[in-house]
Amino acid sequence: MKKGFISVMLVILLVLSVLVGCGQGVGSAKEERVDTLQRIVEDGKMVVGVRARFPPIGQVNSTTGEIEGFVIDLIKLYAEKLDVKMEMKNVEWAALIPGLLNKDFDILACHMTRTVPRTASIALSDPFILTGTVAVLNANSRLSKWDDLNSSNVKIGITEGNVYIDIIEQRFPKAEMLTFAGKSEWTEALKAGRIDCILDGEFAGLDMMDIYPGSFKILPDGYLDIETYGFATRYEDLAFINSMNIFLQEIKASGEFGRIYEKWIGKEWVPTLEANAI
Amino acid sequence: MQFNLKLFIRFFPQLLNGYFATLKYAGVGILLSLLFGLIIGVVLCMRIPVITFILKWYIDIFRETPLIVQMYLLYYGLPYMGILLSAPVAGMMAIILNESAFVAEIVRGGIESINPGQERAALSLGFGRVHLLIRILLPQALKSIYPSLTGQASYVLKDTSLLTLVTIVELTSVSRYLNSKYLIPGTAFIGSAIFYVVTFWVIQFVVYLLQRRQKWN
Amino acid sequence: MELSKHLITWRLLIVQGLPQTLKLALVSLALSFVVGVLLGVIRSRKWIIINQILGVYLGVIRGIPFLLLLLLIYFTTPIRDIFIASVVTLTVFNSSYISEIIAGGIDGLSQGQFKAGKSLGMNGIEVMCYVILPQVLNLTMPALLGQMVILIKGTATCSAIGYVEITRTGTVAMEAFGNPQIIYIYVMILYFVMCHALTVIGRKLEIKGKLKMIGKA
Repeated sequence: MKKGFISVMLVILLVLSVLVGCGQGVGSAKEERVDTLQRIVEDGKMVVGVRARFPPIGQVNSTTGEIEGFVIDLIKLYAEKLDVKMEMKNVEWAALIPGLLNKDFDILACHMTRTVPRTASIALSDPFILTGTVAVLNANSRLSKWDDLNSSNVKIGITEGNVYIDIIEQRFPKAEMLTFAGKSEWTEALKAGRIDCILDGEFAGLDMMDIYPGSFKILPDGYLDIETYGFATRYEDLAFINSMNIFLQEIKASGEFGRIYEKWIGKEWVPTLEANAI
Repeated sequence: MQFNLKLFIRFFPQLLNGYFATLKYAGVGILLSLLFGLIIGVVLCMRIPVITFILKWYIDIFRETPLIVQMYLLYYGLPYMGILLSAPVAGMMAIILNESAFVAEIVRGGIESINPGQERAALSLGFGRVHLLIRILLPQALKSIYPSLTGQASYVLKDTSLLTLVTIVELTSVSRYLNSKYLIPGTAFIGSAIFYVVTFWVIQFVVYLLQRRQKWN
Repeated sequence: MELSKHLITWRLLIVQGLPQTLKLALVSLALSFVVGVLLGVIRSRKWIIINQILGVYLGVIRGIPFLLLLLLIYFTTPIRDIFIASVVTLTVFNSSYISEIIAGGIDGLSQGQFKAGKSLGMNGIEVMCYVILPQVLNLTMPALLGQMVILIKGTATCSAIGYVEITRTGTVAMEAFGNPQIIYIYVMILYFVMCHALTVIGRKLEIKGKLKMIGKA
């Protein structure tokens, strides 16, 4: 028993030191840094991470099965202007940022909300669309103002990796947050009344009301916050981000942006002064 | 994205809170599943026709379908039948129904593996069947199935981690939250794994001690 | 819920969910067997240092809940594909139990077998492959079938990281049609059919094995 005990302890120490050692060494990779944009132009190919489950930004065409949407058209246009081929990888939300950091994709083209905490791990372009946070409620709900949400009786549903976690903790500290595995789960929970509301981008809310007419409604108190979506690249790919920003400015000025906007959003694009004049 | 000791120390209080919640659910789960499993196992051995049939089906169904589906059925499905249980109750009910089936099977196996000679002898001496079961066979069966039953404790502990999928806050859900918010999967998941593994080793050690004591007796 | 929705649900479960579950289960099963038998053989050789290391490794894997292991592997390793992450997790998890079953089986066989094989001119590896392992697999088949049931149940948990199989298909159907109480029962029926078949085969083999031991088969 004694001999076994000592060797077990040694192995545990070994494992722990390896784990801790790995934690320190993560930043000191020995690979040489190749600029992503330059590599894309040289190879003639760009790999784009998308999430085609968020109409009208990104969706899967139910008849043709193709990936399409507002940001899809934008990134396709960018690839044309750069004269490179584009490969899209449609993944789950949780796989987007890890996939980008792991170099599975060169850039993310999806409904990525631009937030300050995110800038610590990825680079975000100028906004390509202005929208806002809304609360989706059960159609029978009595909640009518944002302040109503800050009460201990209110249960708010979220999913993992949700950008609203921080906001809910700050603005509605008294409310109870329940975490669900995915959209199907909290949709059902909202219908059943297990949660009172969920926060999401305006487009997601409208989509839910579209799919389940009569079950849901949107809190009639305007946006909680303005949200802007942008393209995301790895932290160090500043040239790439700069390129996306120039691209956005160019197509806004030329009218191409306006056309794509109207095609997918259904209204005429009017530049605003909010959030970087989009 | 590996384990970072500094971050682990920083988030230790939250993980600890999750751990206490896990222990709470595991404790209730172990006690109730042992209790119900014992009762069901004994009733099963009484060989009452209709009840035995129903119980056998209950045991087979709950042992041979995934716990996660059982949880979803209770959490999402019951409200449609008019029963809205809170998340913890629904989740724990699933775990208890599931593990009781396993315990019942262990108990039944233990009782039925006792030499039938005992049964015949006792019956011929005029003992009633129920009396026979509870006073004579069961204590002997318990002696032999003791380790399996205590082993159940670690199964229930691991089952509680599925509770996070029905919105219950416990250790696994805390680690998912930390990963979501701070993008530190290594620290969050390895950190909570440490809690589970240490607890598992403690349970194993207790089982080891109990087995040794059993041998002495 | 109208009849058409029942039919569509069943069609979805069988056409969309079932193949994915089977794909995951069979691939993971094959790998778990290979790794499990390998580890079991290694453990049976009783090389001190390797056994200690294996002991710690197995003690850790068995102490971590399956869901947590899944999250660990998906988020901290470079594996980005949900299917591969699920296969790896199922393999790591189940191979550890299989190795224990195999090692136990090998220990159960007498040393005489090994010596007899060697005296016939076979070297150690040949004895293992042609003499001992076939017997061990035969002997432990009920336990291995039980582990297969656990593996199939484990595929359901993989729905938590987004793998589309029977359970997740059921959840999506619930979102579309409501009535989770009916849909999840259908899901349970599917799993039950698969697992019960294996269990019944296992029980028959167990009885046959016992008859063999007392010389009646």
